[in-house]
Amino acid sequence: MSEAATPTAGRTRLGASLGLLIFAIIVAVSAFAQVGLVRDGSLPTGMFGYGLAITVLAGVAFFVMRRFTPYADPVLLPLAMLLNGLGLAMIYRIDQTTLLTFAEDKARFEATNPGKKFVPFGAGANVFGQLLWTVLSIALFITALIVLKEIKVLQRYHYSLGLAGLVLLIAPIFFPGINGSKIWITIGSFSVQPSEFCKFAFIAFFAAYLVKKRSALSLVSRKIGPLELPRSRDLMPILAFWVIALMIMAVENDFGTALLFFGLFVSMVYIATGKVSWVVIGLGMFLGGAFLLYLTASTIGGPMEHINQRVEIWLNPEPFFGNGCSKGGEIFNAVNDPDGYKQCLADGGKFSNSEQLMKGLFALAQGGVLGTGLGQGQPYLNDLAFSDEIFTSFGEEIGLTGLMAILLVYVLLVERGFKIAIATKDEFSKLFAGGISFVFALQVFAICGGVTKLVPFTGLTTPFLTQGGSSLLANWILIAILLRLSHEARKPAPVAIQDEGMTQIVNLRGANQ
Amino acid sequence: MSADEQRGSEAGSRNMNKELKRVGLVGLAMIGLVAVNTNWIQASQADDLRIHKLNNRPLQGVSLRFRGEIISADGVKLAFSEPLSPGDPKTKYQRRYTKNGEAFLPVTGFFSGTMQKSGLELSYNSLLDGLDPRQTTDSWIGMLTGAKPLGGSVYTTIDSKAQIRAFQALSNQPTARRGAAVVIDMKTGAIKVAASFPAFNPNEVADIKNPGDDQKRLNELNKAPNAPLVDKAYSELFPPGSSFKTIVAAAFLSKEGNTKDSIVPAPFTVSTSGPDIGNSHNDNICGVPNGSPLIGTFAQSCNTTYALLGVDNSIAGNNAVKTQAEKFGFYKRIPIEPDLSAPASEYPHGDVDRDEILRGSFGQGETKATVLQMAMVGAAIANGGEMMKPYLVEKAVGRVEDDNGKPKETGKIHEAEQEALGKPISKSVAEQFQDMMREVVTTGTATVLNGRNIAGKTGTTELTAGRGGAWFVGFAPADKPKYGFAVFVEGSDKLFGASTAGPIAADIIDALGKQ
Repeated sequence: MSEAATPTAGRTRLGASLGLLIFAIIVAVSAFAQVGLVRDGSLPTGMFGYGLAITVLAGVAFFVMRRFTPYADPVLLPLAMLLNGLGLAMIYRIDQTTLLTFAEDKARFEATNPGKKFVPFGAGANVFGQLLWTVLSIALFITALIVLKEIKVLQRYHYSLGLAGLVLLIAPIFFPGINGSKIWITIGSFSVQPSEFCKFAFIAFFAAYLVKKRSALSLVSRKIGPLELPRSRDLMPILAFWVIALMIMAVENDFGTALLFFGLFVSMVYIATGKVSWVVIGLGMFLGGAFLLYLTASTIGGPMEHINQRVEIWLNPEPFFGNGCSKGGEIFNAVNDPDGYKQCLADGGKFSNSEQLMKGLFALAQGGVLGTGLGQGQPYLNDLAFSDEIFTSFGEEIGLTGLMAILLVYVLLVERGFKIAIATKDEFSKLFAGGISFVFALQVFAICGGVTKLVPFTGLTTPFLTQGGSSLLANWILIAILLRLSHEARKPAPVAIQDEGMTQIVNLRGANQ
Repeated sequence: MSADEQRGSEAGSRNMNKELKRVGLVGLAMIGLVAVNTNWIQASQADDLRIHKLNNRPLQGVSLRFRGEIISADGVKLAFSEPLSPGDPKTKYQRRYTKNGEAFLPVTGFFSGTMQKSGLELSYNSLLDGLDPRQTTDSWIGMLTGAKPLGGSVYTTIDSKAQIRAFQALSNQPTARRGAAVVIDMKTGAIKVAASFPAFNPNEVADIKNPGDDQKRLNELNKAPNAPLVDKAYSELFPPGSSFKTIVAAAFLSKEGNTKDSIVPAPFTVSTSGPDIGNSHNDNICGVPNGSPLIGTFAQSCNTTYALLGVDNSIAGNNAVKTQAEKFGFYKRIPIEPDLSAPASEYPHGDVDRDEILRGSFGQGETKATVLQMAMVGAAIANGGEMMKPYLVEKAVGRVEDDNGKPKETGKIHEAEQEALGKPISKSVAEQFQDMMREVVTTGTATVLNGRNIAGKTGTTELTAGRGGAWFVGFAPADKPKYGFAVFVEGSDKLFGASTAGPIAADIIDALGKQ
């Protein structure tokens, strides 16, 4: 099985990897060039800087991989680099301060509107900041690749990791929320989304925990039809995690993070036990719990409103466009009915705004099948074009065709991840790699499904594309771990030299200890 | 330990590969779902989303696009665009309206420099703007031949001369506060005239260079008395007065065995819990204890007859009248064009007290109708009982820029579909009705119109002390019906259906007849 899955085991694929990496760099740098040519009519002055930076970063990452994990999967690094580079190009495209005419526009505005601040379209996009984060991420990636020689080491610290994850998850409660979600730790102008790092901690914790408990969790106490029920005391951990997930939803107002971690937990329990009943129980608990929260929140209102708003917006976005207030099933729009809207807010009605979602859909529509071309659309009309809505920004400028390519990159990433999980021998590594791969898939589903109105909108990041440091750092670490695991799985076992003519003696025991 | 030994040692516990594969497939399927959904939005939904009313992307650079024309049935350009600096490829376009623009306001609507719009400017906005998906073929051909696609043009059903005549007649009433006239081609449903008073010239709010001034004027109009921003032809409800007796009479005639000569009650008064209901005048038809033939009570407009028809189930009754009103289109919005429809007309029924029904049955109290709705009643009677869906746009065509930079029309991209809305009355009922409406003019309340080849039912309503409304609803020409119409004028209590609304209707029909 594992041999069939990795026919090239025992061979480095560094050549292929380098080729793919060069291709990824060419695509990313061309994207920069195109944006500059269309927007400013000339190659952007910053392009050489950005191009050079990306190339150097990719080169360093490649040589570290070549030195420390030569047998690692050849496709993962180019895939991650491609996504990161494209994300940078799109943020550059949205960041209007990089326009050649920016200083001129600003001066003109300030001359004609004395005392007013010039706010360009796409304010908040910061390509230079994102480039710095990329540098840091690659540095962390390299460190992880070098330091984490034995992933199994993490198994020892799994309770510490679990606790650290929990603390990181709970910490944002004590910080102010952004856009209604309390998933940020803000210190001054610097904000971190700790749930991104929790992914790593929790996957390690779950993997270690499940290695220990998988036989117990596989025990069947009763059968109801095709459903094999586990023993009730084995239900405790899933119950505990269910409570945590619901708390994240209720207190932090973040459906996405709850879905991400609970989904991760359930999928890893299934991988460990092979019991479908766990999936049924888990899904039932999660959906039931979420629905219950929704009902509670809509009757008592209070701090959980944010989730309700997102569900309401998802079901019926139009009346909430440009601020809406709903009360007792009636929706008052701030634009069409300002008096009713004010009254509704005064009466304790619930405020929501579907502008982000709708504008994202309009951006997708504008792009159509082929897109407007990079730099030729207006993705910056959406305030969050560079963060939550970056998927739709790509949709506008590179069209359905481009989005399918991006989704395919994610498909490859997930597929390679699972392949590594299958090729790996020990249980902990298998669960770890499986967890990482599934979390990528789940995250892409939640955020890209959210902006395309497939599921309610969640505040998750689009891996490697979204502007933001936490997400980039965390995801590059996960890639480092996958590379390390694939290296361990595919490196040739030390071979005994059978030539009797040579008197060399190889101690097999020693080699494997 | 070799690979074989490794596998051997794991034989006891499963190696999780089957589960990993399954979970992997689930993960890939989830991304697949996103892909399918994205396809659905970007390929199937894109056209609708691109012209979604909340989407302001089309507004970006709208003044840089050469918007199409709105043209009357007799070829007058009611609305058109002109380049501000001709010859400049980056010129802005200024929207302009014909010099009698105010007369055509219910048709064209306005297109302000602030990008607000109404009427056909709103209904056909994406087509006029050149962003309608139906124009894509033009765009594709244009891309191949190098011709630049422009905004398409809209050809309306409106007759410009009759429309101007109608507006002048409405605004020339010395005491007029509000008024409207609608004429419908009975065979097709095409609206030939849709006039409304008061109005304003849409040029006043169309200045692309000074949108602030446009907004100021719109704010003024919004506060102006009698709401000139709301057209009276199809967007406002009025008590139809005695013209509603057509619907009550239709309910009676539609009953098996009844004819226009059937005897119906026409007493001196009908008692209510308040003041008695009487007739406007009593003679040998109204105010007769033994009853009179229906045609007589219709021609003389006996209030008592129709009040009783509305409550007495043995002759017609509330339910029969309600059903009849519903067949004529009451109780639901009447669609005219996209984003343009008339509000639902009402007649009280069901759990309401007898007084309400008595008053409602001769068009007072809670009975309310749009002028368009009453014109549709007239057109259905004229058309042998068959009622057509009203419409304003005959066709729309795409335009491209020709070699000299002038706009050139290309293919038809929209054509009106004539649609029957049902048959509220049978052919024989319709024929008897036509006789009854002619009788109104020959011997009844509208003898002033004798000789003008027009037939209809008058209505005079008293709204409040010193304020009244005049209606005339019917068809023309009287001998060979072609149009159904309704005219309504609200002003002092000196207005009468026959003497105020009647001549306006006759004048409009004359203007139509001159074509």
